Order: sequence, then structure tokens, then C-alpha cells
Amino acid sequence: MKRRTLALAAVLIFTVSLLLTSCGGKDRSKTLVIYNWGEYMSRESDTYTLYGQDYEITDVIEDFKTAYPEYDVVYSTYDDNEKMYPMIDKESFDIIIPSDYMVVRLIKENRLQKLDMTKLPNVSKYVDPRLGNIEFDPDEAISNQVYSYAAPYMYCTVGLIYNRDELGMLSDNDPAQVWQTLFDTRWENRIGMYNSMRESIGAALNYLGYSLNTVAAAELEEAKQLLIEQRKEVKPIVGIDDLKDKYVSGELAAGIAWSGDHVVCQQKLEDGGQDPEMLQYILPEGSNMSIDMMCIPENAQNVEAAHKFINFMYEPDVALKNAVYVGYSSPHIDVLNKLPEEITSNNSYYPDAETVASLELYYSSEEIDSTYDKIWQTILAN
Amino acid sequence: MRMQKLAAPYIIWMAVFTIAPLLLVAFYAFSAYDAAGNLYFTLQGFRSIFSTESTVALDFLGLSSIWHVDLQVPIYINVFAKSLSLALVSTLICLVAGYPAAYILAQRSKAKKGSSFLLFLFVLPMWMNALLRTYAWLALLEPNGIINSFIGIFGLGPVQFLYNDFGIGLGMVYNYLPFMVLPIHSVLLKIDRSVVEAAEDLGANKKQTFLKVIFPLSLPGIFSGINMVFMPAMTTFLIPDLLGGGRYLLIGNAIERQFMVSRDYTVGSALSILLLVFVLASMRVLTKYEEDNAGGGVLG
Repeated sequence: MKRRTLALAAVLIFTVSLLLTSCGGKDRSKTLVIYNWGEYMSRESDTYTLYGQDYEITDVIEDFKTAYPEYDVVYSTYDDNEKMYPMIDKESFDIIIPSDYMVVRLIKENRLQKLDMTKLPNVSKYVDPRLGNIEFDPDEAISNQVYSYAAPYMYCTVGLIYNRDELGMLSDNDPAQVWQTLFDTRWENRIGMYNSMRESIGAALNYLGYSLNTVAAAELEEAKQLLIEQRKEVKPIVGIDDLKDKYVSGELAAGIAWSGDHVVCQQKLEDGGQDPEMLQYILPEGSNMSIDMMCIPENAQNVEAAHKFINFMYEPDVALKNAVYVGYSSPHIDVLNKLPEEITSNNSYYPDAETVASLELYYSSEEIDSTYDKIWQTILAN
Repeated sequence: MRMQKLAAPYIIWMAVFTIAPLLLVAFYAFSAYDAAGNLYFTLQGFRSIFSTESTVALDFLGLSSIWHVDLQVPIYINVFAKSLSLALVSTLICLVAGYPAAYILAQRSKAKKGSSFLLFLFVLPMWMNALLRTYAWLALLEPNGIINSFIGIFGLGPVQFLYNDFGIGLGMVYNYLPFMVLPIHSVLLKIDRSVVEAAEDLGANKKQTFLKVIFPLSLPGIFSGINMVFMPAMTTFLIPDLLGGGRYLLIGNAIERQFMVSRDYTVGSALSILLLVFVLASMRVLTKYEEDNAGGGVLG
């Protein structure tokens, strides 16, 4: 009997220690470990057609291996900044591509390494100046540091995707005009919302004319009530990736969307032989812009290869392949010249300096995070 | 002695994959890190579940959505109540729909009228992954889906089947119905034919025979059926996620959110512990009923 108890205890200790320690220890100097969003890098050979222009894309990781045969690449993906965050402690990645607010948080927590700009000549040469003057954090000292830790990979805006055949063309980018569609009972069961707290609360705040980063209790309360009412009256469909097919099929009439998702929807329409212009996208003034950036975590083990990779991603042909494949806005000035003008001149995808100045990035602080999370839980529980 | 040795793999299995994780959950539920990164004992997780800081109207069995009663409760209590009401209703529907099916199946097997094929049809969908079957319902019920296209031919619809209580209830009943039918069926099969004959000989009509003899004898099957349907229905988060259009926060989703999004392991574990206690308690009540009834059976 006693022996069995002992054996049980041994097994318990063994599993607990398995759970608490991570395995590792193999030689990493020849391996580059990349952790990226899903479907966020060109990983296939294909021909894409955008506005009648053909683009050949290839697997850019294979291209990197051809250019740098000395490295082996391990590539894995996540679908959420919050899922990525705990992983960077458990494993050591050489490249991660978090969104702006997560980059700020990682900088504040000393979890990133400074980039060596002398090893990144392509970045200095090609990065789009319209991203040069962005407020990443209310703390100017932190905000100014961001680009010494991170190189922009893709960016996008948050706006309204809508079915032109049902809503007509919208041209007024006053947030109260644009977002009222989301709260209109005429579209009961036909509005799409992201299952994401900042985008949902942000659209409500923007509609009401408040900052996307407000912590004023009264403003947040108003946004909360608006979203609770929307859940009861308009009954929006909530999701992330599954929403795109629903806009394409016409099941949903309008909804919150990242600009990149709209491009993907238009491609799907074109592939299905339908008019891609059926789905339109409008960016309200003062809405959100987000920038995903390539960074090197503090515990990276192959910093040399990581720099080569970031620089390689800024090679004009590589950046073009990624931009064509992903559909988000590219921060690469040479790519802008090669993409169809219909896309690059569209102020909703490539906002001009004046529009950029009106847009807000999401700030992250303990106060903001926990206040918004509480509001979001209350909305969901209704 | 030899039997005990044979049990060793299971004991190890359970220790590693059941007991150790449970201990971890319990540990997380009662601990948190302070600002300096030190672990300390706390009841904060449980306190915030019952905290009245933010409240919503209780929606147990349609209390606020149908009857418009405004009873403010802490948000997790409402999440719990919503999960409970969906699980209760689904279990009830499974029972009402499943009992006659089990009865007919048992009658046919006793009369040897090819019931094995019917039974096979019942079990067949269970060989497929629940995720795939639930996706299939999406394709059927969508506004532009197969059913709506069909009734559209007659100028009806489109009917909103999805993203509401109906869709989730349907998903649960469909997924869990076999778990109700099979235990009742096997209990009904085991009822001795001579008991029924005795009732008939003593002058009971069909209705009396069923109500006084067959139904009481089948209670153990009903209890284990309820057990097998209610527990998964209470904890599911796949079905509300897909068929609820992501609008539903049930207890399973709430726990997932705490771990994956809010990253509050203390509250997430505390919720898990509460759910576990609730499930164990309701199982205990059911088994007690079962034992009482087995002891007090007709021929007991």
C-alpha cells in the first residue's frame, strides 16, 4: 500500500516537473525560429490577379533558404497577440510579429532587443515615411523608441465593410454616419462584429465621438450600453475569419472589418466570378490603425539570422509577394509603385498623412486593459 | 493480486492525466502573484466571481429575455444560469424525444424485427467527429443554406435558425440524443417479458402496464441517460461557439476566455472548480435517485 502511494507521488512529481520545465538544449546557431500570424506571409506558389494585373508569388521562406542556405527555418503561427505573448517565455523565437500595442508592452517589459540598423539597410531605404510620425504610446519617450526595436511588417485600418447593392455607396467618413449601420435594427442578424474587445468597444466609442483609448467611466458606460443594446436588438454575428465568407455570400450586409480582410473578400468574389466591387470599405475619421512589426525577443538565440531575415523581408520583390498574398497595406515604398493604383490611391487602405494623423492606435496599460476587459465580459454575459 | 497489477497502467494514466491536472487547477484557483512576483494564497478568484461590482439581468430559462424580469446578478452567475438553462432544456427534449425511440427500438429487438439496423443508424453519426457534424448543421441552417433554399422554393423564409437559442438547442439535442436513447434502450431490453405478461394477466391495460411496470423499471436508464446528456451539454463550448454565432458566453467559453484572453488563471481556475463541484453534486443527486429506485424496484 505504502509503495503504491510512493509510486503515485513519484508520477505526480514527474508530471508537474514536465509541465513546469520546457525542453530545449539543441544547437540553435543554424536555426531561425519565426513566430508569425496565420496566413500572414506568402507560403505558396501561385498567380494572383489584382485589378487585372497578374502577380507571381512564391514561398518566401523557401526564397530565404535559397538566399541563405546556411540556415534552417522553423515557422509556426498564432492567431492572437494574447496567445503569442505567453509563448515567448516558453520558447525562444528569433522573430515575432506582434501588433503595435503588444510591441509597446514588450518594450516596457524589456522583452525585446534593439535592432541593429546597420544590418538593416533595406529597412532604412524603403520604409514608408507616412508611418514615421505615429503616437504608439501616450508616453512620448516610449513612443519614440518603438522603431529602434521594431520594423513595420504590414498595417491596416479598422472600418466598415458593406454590401454596395444593399447600402448604396457611402462617402461620408464622419464616424457617426459610418458606424450607425452597426446599430440599425434594419440589419437584424446581418451585421458582422469581430470577437475582439478593442475593435468592438472602439467602434462604439468612435461612433459616440470619444477617443478609442478613453478611460472616462461615463464614456465607457455609454459605449457598453450601446453594445449591449446592439446584441439584443441587432443581434450581430460575431467571429473573426468565418465572417469573410458571410460577407462574400451576401449573408451579412455590413460589419466591422480590418482593411486587409476587405481585400481578401474582394479576392474571393473575383475568384467566384462575381463583381469584387460589390463589397466596399470605408474608413471613418478617428478610427483605428494598427501596425504589425517584426521584432527580436530578448531571449532570441539567433540574432544574426533574425537581422538577415528582417532585411530580406524588405527586399522589394519579397515585400511585394507578401503584400499581394496577405492583402494588408505594405509599409514598403517600392511596393506602392508596383501594386495597382486602385489600391494604393484608396485612402481607406493607404491613408494620406492627414488621415493618418486623425487615426488612433490602441494604447495598452494595466488600467486600460483591465477596464476594457471588464466591460467586454459584461457585454458578453448579457 | 494479479488483477491489481493489471490496473497499474490505468492508475498511472489517471494520476498523470486526471489527478495531477486537477491539483494544478485547485492550486491556481487559490493562488496569485503579487506585484513583486511572489506567489500567495488568495480567495480573490472566488470573490470576483460573486462580486456585485458589475451585474446583468439574470436570464435563467428566459427570465429577462422572455418574461422581462430584471433581477440583477453578478455576470458569472448569469453565464452559469444561461448554460444551466440551455443544458436543462436540451436534456428534457432529449428525454421526451429519446424515450419513445428507445421504446420502439426495444420492442422491435424483442420481436426480432430488424432493430439492429435501426440501432446502427442511431450510432452511425457518432462515428464522425462532433466538429464536422456541427459544421454540417451550419451548412444546413444558414440563411442561404440548404433548408432555407428549399423552403424558398415555396416562397417561404428565410427563417433565422442559427445564432439563437434554437440553433444551440438543436445542436445539443442532435449531438447528445444517442446518449439518451442507448442507456434507456438497454434497460428496456433487460425487462423480463414475464413481468409484463404478469401485469397483463392481472388485468392491466396497455397504459397501466406501461405506467406502473415498464416506466418505473426503466428509470435507471433514464437517470444514466440524463447524466450522459446533461453533463456535456452544461460544459460544451464548441456548439455555442459555432451555432451561436459567437454571441454566446456560456460557462465553457467563459473559462476558456479567462485563460486565453484575460490571462487570469486565478479566476479561470476558480470557475473551473465551481463548475466541477456543481457537476459532481448533480451527479451525486442523480446516482442517489438511481440507487433508491433500483432498491425499491417492482420486484426488489
